Amino acid sequence: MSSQSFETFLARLYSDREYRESFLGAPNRVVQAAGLDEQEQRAALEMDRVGLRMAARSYELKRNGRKPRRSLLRLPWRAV
Amino acid sequence: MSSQDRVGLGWRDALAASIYLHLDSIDVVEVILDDYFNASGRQLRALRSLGRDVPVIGHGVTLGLASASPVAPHRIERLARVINAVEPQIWSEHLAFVRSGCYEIGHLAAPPRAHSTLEGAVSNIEIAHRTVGTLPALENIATLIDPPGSTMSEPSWATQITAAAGTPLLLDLHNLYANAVNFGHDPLEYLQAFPLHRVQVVHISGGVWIELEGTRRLLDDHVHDVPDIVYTMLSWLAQHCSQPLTVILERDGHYPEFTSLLRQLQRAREALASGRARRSQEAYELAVV
Repeated sequence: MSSQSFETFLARLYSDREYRESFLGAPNRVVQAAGLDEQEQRAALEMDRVGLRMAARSYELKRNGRKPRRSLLRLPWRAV
Repeated sequence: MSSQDRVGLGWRDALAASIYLHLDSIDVVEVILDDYFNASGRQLRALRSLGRDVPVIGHGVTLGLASASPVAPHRIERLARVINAVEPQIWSEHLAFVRSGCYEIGHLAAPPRAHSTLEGAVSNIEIAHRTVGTLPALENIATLIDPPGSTMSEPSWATQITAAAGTPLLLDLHNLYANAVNFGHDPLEYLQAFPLHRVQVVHISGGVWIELEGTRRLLDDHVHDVPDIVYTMLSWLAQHCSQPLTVILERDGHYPEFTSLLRQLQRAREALASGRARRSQEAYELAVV
């Protein structure tokens, strides 16, 4: 568990929007194709999808210019 | 406040002039080391000269020490170049991973809190120690997702890494608060679970609540003022730590009037002082009994 391949799987989910959408749309298929062991596959399938989307969006905004204030308050979430 | 406690803020270009104008109210500044990876020798000498006016500590953000994968030697070497040129009193990095394989996450991400990342972090810290010459203080990060694949709690994982590597802790109180409220922990109980005897540096900052599909999470964004709860946690920390603390206010944008930042530094001083006073009172009462 938590091998380098699992970290790479997470890094791809966090940074590759297309891959992430594929995972959110068909998690079993993506996880089975990711080369993860059984325990890692289970961890991947159990992950918090809302948290994934929030975290991935915040990383994306950091990558795109490191200007967090306005952009972090835009979609997909709303500031409350 | 202990006579050795210090309160300062993060060095940012937008704040530089105001910092220089208010050095009598600023005990220490924290420089982002990564901002100087491509600096010329002259620029590094200028940064070093800052240390003659105010104590400087250094902060790294892109090593990705907490990973099952080894950190590339060139990344540590370029950090060491800046540290050796600037000679900060302390340097720090994060308990985070920032890349894996060919994927750059672009920010600090929480790795699975598991034995493989624990062992990987210790190994990476040893390499950094050998290359730089001094150990980093390690900072807890905020996360919007409970890291998948984790087999231990964040405090336990951080405790084991810092113990095995022999490193001090940079305790970010807003990161800690955000993780506590986002994942169902009481903030003060969560704070107590960290290895407080290792805390050398403290970060304070602010954030904003966000909501997606009915789920609310606190985003640590460094562009809002420090909330009251963080001062309460700082006071509690000062009461329960014997060692001197260096407190840094982090602000990365949406800068208010500088007087507002100075007021936040003053509130941090007052929180430290109240915690230290309670600590002294407890010691006095124990001695009397």
